[in-house]
Amino acid sequence: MARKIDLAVHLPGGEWADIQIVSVPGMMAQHNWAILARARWLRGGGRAAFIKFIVKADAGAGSSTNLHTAAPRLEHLRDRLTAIKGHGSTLPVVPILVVELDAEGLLVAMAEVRPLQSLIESGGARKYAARVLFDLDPTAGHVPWLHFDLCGRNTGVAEDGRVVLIDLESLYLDDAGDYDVTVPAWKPFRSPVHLVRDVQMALAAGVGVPRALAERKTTFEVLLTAAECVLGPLRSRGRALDRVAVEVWLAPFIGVDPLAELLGNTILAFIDHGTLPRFADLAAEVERLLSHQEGTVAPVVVVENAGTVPIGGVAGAPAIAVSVEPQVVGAPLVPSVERQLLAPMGNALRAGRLDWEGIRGYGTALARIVEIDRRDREAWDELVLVLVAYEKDAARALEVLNKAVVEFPDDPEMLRMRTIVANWAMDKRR
Amino acid sequence: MNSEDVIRVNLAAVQVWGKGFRVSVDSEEFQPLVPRVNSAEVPIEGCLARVAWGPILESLYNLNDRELSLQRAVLIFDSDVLVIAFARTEDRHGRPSMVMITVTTSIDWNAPSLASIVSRSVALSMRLAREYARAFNGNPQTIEGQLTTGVFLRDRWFDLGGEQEDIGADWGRILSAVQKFRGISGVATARLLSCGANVLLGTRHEAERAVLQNGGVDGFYDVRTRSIVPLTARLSPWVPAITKPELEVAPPALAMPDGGDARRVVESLDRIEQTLQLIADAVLRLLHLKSGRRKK
Repeated sequence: MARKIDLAVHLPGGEWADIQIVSVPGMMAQHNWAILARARWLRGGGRAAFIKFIVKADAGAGSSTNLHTAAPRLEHLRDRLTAIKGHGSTLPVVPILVVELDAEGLLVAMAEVRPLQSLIESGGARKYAARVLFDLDPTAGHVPWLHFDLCGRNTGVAEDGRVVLIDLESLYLDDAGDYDVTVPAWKPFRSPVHLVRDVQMALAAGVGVPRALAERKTTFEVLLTAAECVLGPLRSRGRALDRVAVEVWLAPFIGVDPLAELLGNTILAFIDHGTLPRFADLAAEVERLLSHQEGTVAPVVVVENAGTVPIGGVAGAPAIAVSVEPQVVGAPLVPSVERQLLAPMGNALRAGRLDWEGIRGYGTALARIVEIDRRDREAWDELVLVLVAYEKDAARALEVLNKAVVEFPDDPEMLRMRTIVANWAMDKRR
Repeated sequence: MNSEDVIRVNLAAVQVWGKGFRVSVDSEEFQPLVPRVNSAEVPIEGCLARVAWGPILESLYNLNDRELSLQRAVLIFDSDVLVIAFARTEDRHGRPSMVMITVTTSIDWNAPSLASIVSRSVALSMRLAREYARAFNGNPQTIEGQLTTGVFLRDRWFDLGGEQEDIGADWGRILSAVQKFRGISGVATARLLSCGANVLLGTRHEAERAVLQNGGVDGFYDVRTRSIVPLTARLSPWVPAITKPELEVAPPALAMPDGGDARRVVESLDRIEQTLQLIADAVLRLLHLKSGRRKK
């Protein structure tokens, strides 16, 4: 049982505000030795920050705890993070705000970013596919680095739009030709068997991961993450990633989405032959296809747990599992079907997982539904919600409500909503 | 300017004032909390020790939050500015209290970034005043402990680089007006004049009222004309430096007036300048009155 730590002692009121503890040791999962929190750093203009406080191992700690949090390891980590911080934006790393080691543990504060995984899950990551390749190319910068567990969960989109690494504990800088990996935690089930074998052999030899192997590992993981931006999350749980898993993942896109095919086939080529194209060439081609396909809706919203997606919002109504195939904007759809297809986006909106573009796209789709089926009261309500609460566009909300009132002239709730929005719009005009 | 200068210019020293925390024998007095003793590091902060805070705080308690956020004070020194901002909070008994933040930074009057540096300093002071007012609300024990042990703000130097600019005042024009006069100790809105400023950011009416109430007002910044209007002889325009023309032939020797004569000439020029300024101001007021009548 970890001892109780008062995080406020480490985040003094002159430096930090709005501290919210996200998790404490033992609360979320096993092997969790850190307190995670969100806070606002009062320097740098007042920046939203993510805090990780790694609690130092007690004297009687077990071997696993000692491996991760013993004093020498935290000192080593402090030095490594300080060196990474010193490189600034020359490394594709989340801006590090504070690194401080004291008697109780190591405080690491970094700028808050949007985790790429949440964008991948919500179908809003497609546009980042090229940036993942450009920004995380391990061979591009002049400071060699290795991230030992690179995936959507450990990457994010920074305030300036850069794709950056966020799991700093797994980031290593080159140490005389190889990388001294202290905690070799990674996801071998996301790597082909030949890569898993090579990495395990290097770790077993205990002399560090050679730079060439590190580059190969990182490059493949970056490629896989870029592919997830387009194809959606890869569900793979075997000992290693095999051809069949990738083919199943890619199947819905064959003949539909050339970008998905390009990335899927590049992954298959690596699984079969261990070959990868030049990253810059691949990134340029991905960017070209992305700009060519701007009119394409981000595909693949697969809702696996049907019970969480009630269609129609009626209490007790049977839930429907929704699997959205790639659709081209403007393709004629029956409004009720389109409403069902949009349900996951509604959920993502409420869960705060839609980015600005996603919100705009959702609003546009709802506007199209109410144009086709003007009696779809729920679509009107949802559209007004998007315009008022998310886009904060009083003029458009009023315009929509004026149209809705024509359809529902005796609906007191609709009339009340219009009055409120009309007042708000007038207030904004003043 | 070398890189070290750039770094120095972008750093600002923050001072936090308040009351109600049991950090000294006179904890109910308005006093510096960070740093708790006058620091030799930023000597100009010492000028605040002479200010009578009681009347200033009294006048601020009556303002609502919006009015309070419009108050500005920038004290001006040769190569530094000290910016002051207040925010409202409450003490442990629920009584109104104030937090004051000062931000001191070095400036270069010839640098193009002058206005930006001052504007960011103002923004920083106001932002921290709001934040610390929230933190100090009710004089929480955690904060009291941090203030006592000096960990509340271990490093009081802030980088201005990440700050937004203050949108509440046009610091570019204000500073350009300030540069035209000597004798300016600072610019401030009416309620903060007593912090040490002698030029009011406001109207002539406010300036004249301030003269009647407290004195110590030597001019005001007129937002219509974007210029400073002197009210006393303590403000005088800088005489532009006369640059010597580069001549190839040595100029003939001139009979130069002695120092006393030169001073008299400068003073007389100053007086002419001030009179012209007052005439221009009077004409403007007349025009203003006339146009007001016409509207009626």
